[in-house]
Amino acid sequence: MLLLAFSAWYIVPFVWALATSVKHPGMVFDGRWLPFERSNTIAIEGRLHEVRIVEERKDSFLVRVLDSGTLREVPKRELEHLSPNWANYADAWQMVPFGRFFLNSILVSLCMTLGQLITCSLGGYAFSRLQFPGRNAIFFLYLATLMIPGPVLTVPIYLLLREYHLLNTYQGVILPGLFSAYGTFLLRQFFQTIPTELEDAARIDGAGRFGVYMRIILPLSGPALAALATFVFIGSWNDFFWPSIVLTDPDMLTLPVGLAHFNDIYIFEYSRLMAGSMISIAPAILMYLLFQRFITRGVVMTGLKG
Amino acid sequence: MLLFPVRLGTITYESTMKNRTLRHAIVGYAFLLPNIIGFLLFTLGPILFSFLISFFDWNLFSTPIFVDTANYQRMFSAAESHFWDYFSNSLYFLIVVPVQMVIALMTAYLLNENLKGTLFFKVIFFIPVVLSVVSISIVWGYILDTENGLLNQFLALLGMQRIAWLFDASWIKLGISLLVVWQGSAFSTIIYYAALQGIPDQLYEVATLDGASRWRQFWNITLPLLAPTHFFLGITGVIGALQLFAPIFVMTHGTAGGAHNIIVEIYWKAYHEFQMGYASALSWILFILILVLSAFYWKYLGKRSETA
Repeated sequence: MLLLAFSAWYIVPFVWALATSVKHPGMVFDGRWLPFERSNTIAIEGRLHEVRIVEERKDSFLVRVLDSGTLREVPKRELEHLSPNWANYADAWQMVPFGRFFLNSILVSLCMTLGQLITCSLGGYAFSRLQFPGRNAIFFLYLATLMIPGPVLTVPIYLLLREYHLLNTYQGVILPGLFSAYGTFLLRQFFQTIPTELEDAARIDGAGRFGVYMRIILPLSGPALAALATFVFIGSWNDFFWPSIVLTDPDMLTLPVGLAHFNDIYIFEYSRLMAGSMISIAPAILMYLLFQRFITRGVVMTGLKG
Repeated sequence: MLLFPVRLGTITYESTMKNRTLRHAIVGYAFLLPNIIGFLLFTLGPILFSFLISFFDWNLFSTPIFVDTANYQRMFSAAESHFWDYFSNSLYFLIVVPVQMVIALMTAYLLNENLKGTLFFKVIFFIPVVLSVVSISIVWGYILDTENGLLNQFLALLGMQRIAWLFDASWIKLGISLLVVWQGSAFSTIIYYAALQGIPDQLYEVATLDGASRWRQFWNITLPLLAPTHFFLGITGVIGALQLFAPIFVMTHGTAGGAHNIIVEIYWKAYHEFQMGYASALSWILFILILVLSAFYWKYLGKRSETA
């Protein structure tokens, strides 16, 4: 019972948004749950009569007038509130270049994920296994920066990108996300747990450092790499602050930024807004259902914060 | 390290210690190179630069002028009469931290009971974590709508007044907090659930044999063993709550209104008014606030949960 109550807390907003997303313009403000009605009234010679649909035709409905029992043909337009209005989705799709935003988001997120997997694993390996002067001092510096909040960094990075004319480019959004001290730290910690004997054996067999990294460390770090990938991908896919500062060209917006613009333009057009939100949410839910175990584990390992 | 000389590929390790150290250094730095470039350009460099320009007056188009600590003094002066409002708004959002932790703990505890349909519920409970804050903010913008919003309909059922959640300065923060709790509790549920799975069943079995009630077991076994998790969620929650931006920005269409916090102020000063020096000074004040609160949390709540 309690579980049901809790699931209501999470699920009711979805159902509500979904119901609203298929409402007809005139019905959004009636505050009803059901997006369409089972029976309704029509005006015949100035008086309202309750009717029920008997048959659907091309442009009209055949309805039975309940009080007199007679059949009548009524244009579809007059009874449109009897069925869900899927047109909201088509409208939302047309008003906003969602396809474009998807591609932008995918490009940005994939680049960042790949980039961090490469830079963080190389750096993590260096910090966990290699001896070089200043290693511990540098590592400590990395750790110290983990406490610094994002806004401290964004002003100077913005200025840097501006200096090199990278504002409003994909590179501008992606470049700062190709590296993270946190990811380096995470992978370094994981690499520490891999026994050194394996590595020594490979070295005796003639493998170089890079060979060891490619053929021993990386294959053994599947869960950690997957966790970092999940963390970076979800984080960049949903990031709003940074892309909204860097990107201004409407064609280049990522999904969250584009969606926020949509929200500003079609303010109070709730059924279309909800349709738009549902369109944007659908791929995330699909992705989640496909990789559910994987994502949950990644969230636990990295302490991902939405 | 290897104690005897061996052939590794084509390179002999019979060279002197000095050469070896040099070689190690080169290999080490080579691995670190892509990483450290990123670190210098996008982390360490910006931190130093931000600190530096927080002592300058600079609007991007003028020459920076050194103004000593004027930017810092300005926040607390009459020129920025709303600074304390922004400051207290930032602090207000801290209420989401305990609320989402309690909801999450209860949800995770129930999930851990392995009742029928747990898998189904798990899927539902965890979904909000992967959703973008922007999509969620749009949905909640409608839930909090004054005329037709779900929440006001619910209040009307209870015979209460409608509230202009997003337009009334005294309610807007609570409205936004609801959304933050909604998403945050899903995240915390995952973490709590993982931690609960790690508690061995034997502990409960022994407690049951000793005649301890479910409630006592929860209070004396579950809660204390979750101490590191409480701590982790508390700290990350505080840091997240102080940096709340997207929900405020999206739900108020960029105006922020009564929910205007320090982050929104930094955004406004830096990217609309281009007062880079002042915006940087603000971000350092935010850092100090986070540092102080984390230290406070560490010292008092962290310790207490360890000894509980």
